[in-house]
Amino acid sequence: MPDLLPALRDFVAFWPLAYLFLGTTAGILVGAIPGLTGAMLITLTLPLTFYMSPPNAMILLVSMYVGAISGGLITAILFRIPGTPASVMTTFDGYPMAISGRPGRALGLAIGSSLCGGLIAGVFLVFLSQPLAELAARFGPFEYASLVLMALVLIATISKGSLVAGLLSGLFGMMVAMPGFDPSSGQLRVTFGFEDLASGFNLLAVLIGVFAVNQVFDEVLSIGRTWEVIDIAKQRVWMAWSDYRRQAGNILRSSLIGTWIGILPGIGASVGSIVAYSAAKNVSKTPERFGTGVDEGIVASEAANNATVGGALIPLLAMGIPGSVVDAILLGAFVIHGMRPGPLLFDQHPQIVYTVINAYLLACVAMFVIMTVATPRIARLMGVPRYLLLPVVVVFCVLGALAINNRMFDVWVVLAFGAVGFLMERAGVPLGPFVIGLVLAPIAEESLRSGLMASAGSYLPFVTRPLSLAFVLVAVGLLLWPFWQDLRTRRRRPVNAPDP
Amino acid sequence: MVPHAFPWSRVLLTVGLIVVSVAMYASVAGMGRGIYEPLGAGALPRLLSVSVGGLACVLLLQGLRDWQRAGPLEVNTGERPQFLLAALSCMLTLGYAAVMTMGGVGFRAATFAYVLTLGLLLSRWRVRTLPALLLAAGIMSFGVHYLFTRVLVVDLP
Repeated sequence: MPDLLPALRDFVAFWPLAYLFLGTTAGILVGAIPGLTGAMLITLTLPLTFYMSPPNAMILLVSMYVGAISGGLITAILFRIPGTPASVMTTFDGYPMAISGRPGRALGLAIGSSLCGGLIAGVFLVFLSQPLAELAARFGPFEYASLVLMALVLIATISKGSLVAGLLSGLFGMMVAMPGFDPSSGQLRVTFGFEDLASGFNLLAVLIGVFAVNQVFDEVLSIGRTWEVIDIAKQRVWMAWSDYRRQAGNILRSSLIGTWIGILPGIGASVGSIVAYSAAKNVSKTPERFGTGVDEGIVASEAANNATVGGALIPLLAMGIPGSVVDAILLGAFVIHGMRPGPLLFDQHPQIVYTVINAYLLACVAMFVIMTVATPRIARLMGVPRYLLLPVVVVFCVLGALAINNRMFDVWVVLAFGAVGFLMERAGVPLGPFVIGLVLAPIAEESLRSGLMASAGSYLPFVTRPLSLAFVLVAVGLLLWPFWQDLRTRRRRPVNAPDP
Repeated sequence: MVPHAFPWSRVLLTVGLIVVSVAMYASVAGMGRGIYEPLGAGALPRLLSVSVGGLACVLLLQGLRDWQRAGPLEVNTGERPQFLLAALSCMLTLGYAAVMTMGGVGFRAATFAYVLTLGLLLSRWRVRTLPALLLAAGIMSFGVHYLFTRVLVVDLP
């Protein structure tokens, strides 16, 4: 990408830099407040970006994404509450180190390794996006349809909860994308007589409902929750140079794991940090010390979860396939701003590609600076009373819905999907596959139907085209894997052993 | 964080999904294929409604079994869920949207009343929270109305 460095000049201006710092700070704050998530922040901010230029909008949203993943480490270390699901593993060693009187060191290690993880993934983002986009340019409709199928199966099988719940969530997401005009024939379908449904459910309204309203009601349910605060006012938040050298191997390994897991469609940062933490524990000479406040645990978790952000941006930019839930929302942001991520983006809007990559890299640095300087102050945000915060979030949800099409119908969609999201999470049905299904359904349907028109109704190209066959085989393999594992476990178990 | 999980939610969700699947199938049942198009507009909705309905039935049976065993589906965060508070907040939010839909009360008045009432409800009607809540209600109603209608040029009810 020879034009990437010259494109950095676009950031030497007031608004891009202001959006970069605003987005990163807002992301960190939201990540640091348990109950508020990056997905929620980005969906609520999306309507405000209607009034920005596309590059500025993407700078703001990408910075929020980076900030939100990192912000979670503050509460994970100081309160043993992961501010985001991605920082769950950080609590295992971060909190014990903090209560042993070294909260500044725990935070310093986490922030330093977050920067390294983010930048290492950034290198892959720079060098892998273009070749992958060139490969994706050769994709026909059958390749896209089978790639979407693989992404859906992958996220359904990896998500927490049962395989049935994951599949149900993904298919339900696709179902929600069905109402409105049929993309091929223009026929109206599944509107149930509601004129407002002619253009379908607005993606943003559904996302605001599922993430923000749902979260508000969960917070109301647990309004009495209190936390014990560790004071870090006089602590130095810094990772020493010798620590970087000592942890270099761990940082590199964890970042590579995070980047790779980020690239896989639909798997989030939490899986990245779990795998990296387990790997660090496995190679450690003292694995029994993990969970008691060791440096390696904090570094592995934070380097990996930040690396997943950069990794997940690769398939989003190169193929238009979201690597995580937040990437699915970013895909929606691209579409709202009149662009479609994928190979064509590199041809038609190369400037946006450079902006996204540079914004990601600069946001990692901004996150490091902001968190190093302001963590003690950010930690005080835990004291923001819920009775003040929650009504404000609901009003922002309503405003977000009204800003889309200026109609109350979208407000009702937000509330209805808030209830749906609430029920889904309480029923053990993961939200990740739902969002991926919702965003990918139109791409899958258009690809499948145009492919079938080209092949005169034959499904054979799914298995005769090599890439399509590979995606289908991976999807089938992923679907069968849990059953195979179950069968193997049953065979190994002695005949008289009781069921687990 | 693990959200609160309740056994009845799986039953409620899956029954809802089965109803929606049946409704979706019925609404596209009569849609045929095009001349050049082998699938037609109704094919994917039909396939999805059958799949979602089927999987929802499987999950419903699992949900009923779990409900009979009477254990929560997941470990919750420890504290007692505030059901009454959640129900009242939910009703208040629906009322807020309904009032703006009917058009009698504008965004400013409705939002001011909503933020203040919900804030007081969540703070257990503690009077000392009133100044902060009045400030928040003022900013979210009049301040945001000004921002959206004058700066961002978005019409609000």
